[in-house]
Amino acid sequence: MKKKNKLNQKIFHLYNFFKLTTLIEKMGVHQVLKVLPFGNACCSLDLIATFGPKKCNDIFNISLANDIYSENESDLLIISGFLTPKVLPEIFNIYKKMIRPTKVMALGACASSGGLYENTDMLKELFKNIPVDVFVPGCPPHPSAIIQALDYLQNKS
Amino acid sequence: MTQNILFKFGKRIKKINDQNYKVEISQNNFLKDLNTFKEKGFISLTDINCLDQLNLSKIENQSRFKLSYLLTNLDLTIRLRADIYIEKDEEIPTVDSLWENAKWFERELLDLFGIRFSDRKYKRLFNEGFLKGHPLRKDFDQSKEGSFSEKLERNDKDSGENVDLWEKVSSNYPGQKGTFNLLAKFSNDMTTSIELDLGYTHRGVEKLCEKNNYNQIIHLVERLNFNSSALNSIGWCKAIEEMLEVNLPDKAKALRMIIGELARVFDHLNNIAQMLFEMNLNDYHCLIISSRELISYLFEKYIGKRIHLSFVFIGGVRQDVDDQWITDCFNILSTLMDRVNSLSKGLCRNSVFRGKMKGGKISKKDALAWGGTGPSLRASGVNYDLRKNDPYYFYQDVNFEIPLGPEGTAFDRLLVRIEEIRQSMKIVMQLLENLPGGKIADDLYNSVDMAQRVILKNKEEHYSASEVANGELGFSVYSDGKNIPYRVKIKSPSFCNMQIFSELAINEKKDFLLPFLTSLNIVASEIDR
Repeated sequence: MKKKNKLNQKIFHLYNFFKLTTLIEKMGVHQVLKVLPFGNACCSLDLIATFGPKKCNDIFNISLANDIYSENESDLLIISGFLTPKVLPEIFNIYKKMIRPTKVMALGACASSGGLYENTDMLKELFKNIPVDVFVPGCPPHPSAIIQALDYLQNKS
Repeated sequence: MTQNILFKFGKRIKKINDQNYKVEISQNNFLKDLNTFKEKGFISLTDINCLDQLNLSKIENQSRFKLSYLLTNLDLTIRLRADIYIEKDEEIPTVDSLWENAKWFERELLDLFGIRFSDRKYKRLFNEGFLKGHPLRKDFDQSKEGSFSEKLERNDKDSGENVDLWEKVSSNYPGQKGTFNLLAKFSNDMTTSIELDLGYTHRGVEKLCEKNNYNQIIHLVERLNFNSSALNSIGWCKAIEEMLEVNLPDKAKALRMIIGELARVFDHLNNIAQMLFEMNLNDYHCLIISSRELISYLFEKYIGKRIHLSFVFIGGVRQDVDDQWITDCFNILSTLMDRVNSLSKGLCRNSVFRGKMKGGKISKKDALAWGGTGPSLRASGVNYDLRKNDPYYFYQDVNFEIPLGPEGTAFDRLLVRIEEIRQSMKIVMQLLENLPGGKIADDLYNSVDMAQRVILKNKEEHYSASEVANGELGFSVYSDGKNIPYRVKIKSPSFCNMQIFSELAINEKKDFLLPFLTSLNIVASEIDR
């Protein structure tokens, strides 16, 4: 183990020496986003699977397990779950309080287009009420899809 | 024994099958009859169901509604359905003097069917201030009774009142935000009163069930308790197969049990992780989640989906397991067994954690009176598990034990869950070692036009229950002879467990409130439906 660590350090130094300029460029592109996950349904299971085992922390500087930010501190709202008429005002209230510019991710079929529940009062067109930056399809979406969406949000100019 | 209890009522009680009996009672001696049933051992009110008979062609009684009180005798595991017929604007007496948990069932009936109960002024359970009509009545018109834009304005005005008096209690865990609104008043760190607002995830699953065919409903049912969706779909298919009298192949039974028990392990691990998160053990939470992911890996390898598997249909199972999957499963189960052992050793030594989990005590008497099921009943010391008491599939052939808790605190419920994980893994290992061969589906139903094949001609209302991770999940299905059901009532375990919390949380310490709530493993989408 020790040998491996030393080797890694050496490689990292070399990397630093030669590629520092590219690293500075790369890290600059990745804006650190503070996430507020709002979800009352199954999509949250895959959201936890993405953030929980620290897959995401190293790549995107996003942490969910260590500290959850309140509405006033965060700038990425992940909306998932059943958008019933009763829960919508709560989402709007949270959205109003957040830091501008706010990024919004609609996660899963229910948040994007109403999902399975046709003929009920559930909201089918979220983007008419809140500007949505990225839709993630799937019921529920695969963690790799969520990671791809985060990547897209961070690199979006 | 069964005969002795039912003998006194004579010919009034009719037998449906070995476990289920029905009786018709009149309005005149309604409470008196129910009281005698309770004294004879039907101590648990499992469900109150209602049937709107407006569009039915052949009916026994011309009244508009049929109310069914489903009572359970826990010692003998027999259920008695007491039917009463009432007219549209008729009031009937409440039964909350006999069974305390009747309160929410009656509020639900008021909300969805508009049935009024004398001496009680209930609020609607889910749609207070959102709907004018009653959605489960057959003459409900969605376009007329309440529109979307009105509701948004109305709710904005309501929010902001009495903010100072009430304190919001909610968990920070993803998937728990926006599920229900729990307000509490405290004095000297003791909870004095609690106000619970439900219906944030009410999307009308029971209404949608009346528009979809039996195989489509599997996907609706899976999203009730999403932590263990496989168990829900198995329960639904079991209910329909019992009505159709299908002989399921042995291999399909074994595969359903394997995937179902793995889903139970997934659910329990998820709940333990949530509990650790609330106790600020964040890194430990990550470890448990990564252990949970091992099971989703198995699911993904088996059927291609991680959470909603959709691996069953009425009459069988969609896919067979191969040898590679079986060896993978053995490897993962052995690593999981080690991890669960070290988890229980670690948590039992942590005195701070133990102290925080001391609260939330549910006594044996309370758990029975409020209709609790599953780990929250077993942690109070009641030995009732449908896998042992009313065994289905191969549960009487495999070797496993039912863990019980001594006192019924939050920590006891955690220990019961950990032990249940071990027992479930034991069941899976036994099944994998003796996996039967043969077909995985019944030939009649395994075809392209399977939606048209499933037609229930049986006119009798049928109740079928199975043991899921939270407790007893039951489906009452009434068929009209078409390929879609006339009425489906879902008896969800979280519904009863949440009611226990809303009553027993009063006089609980402020710090114990969140551990109590998370230890019950409540899924709001299962309560609201």
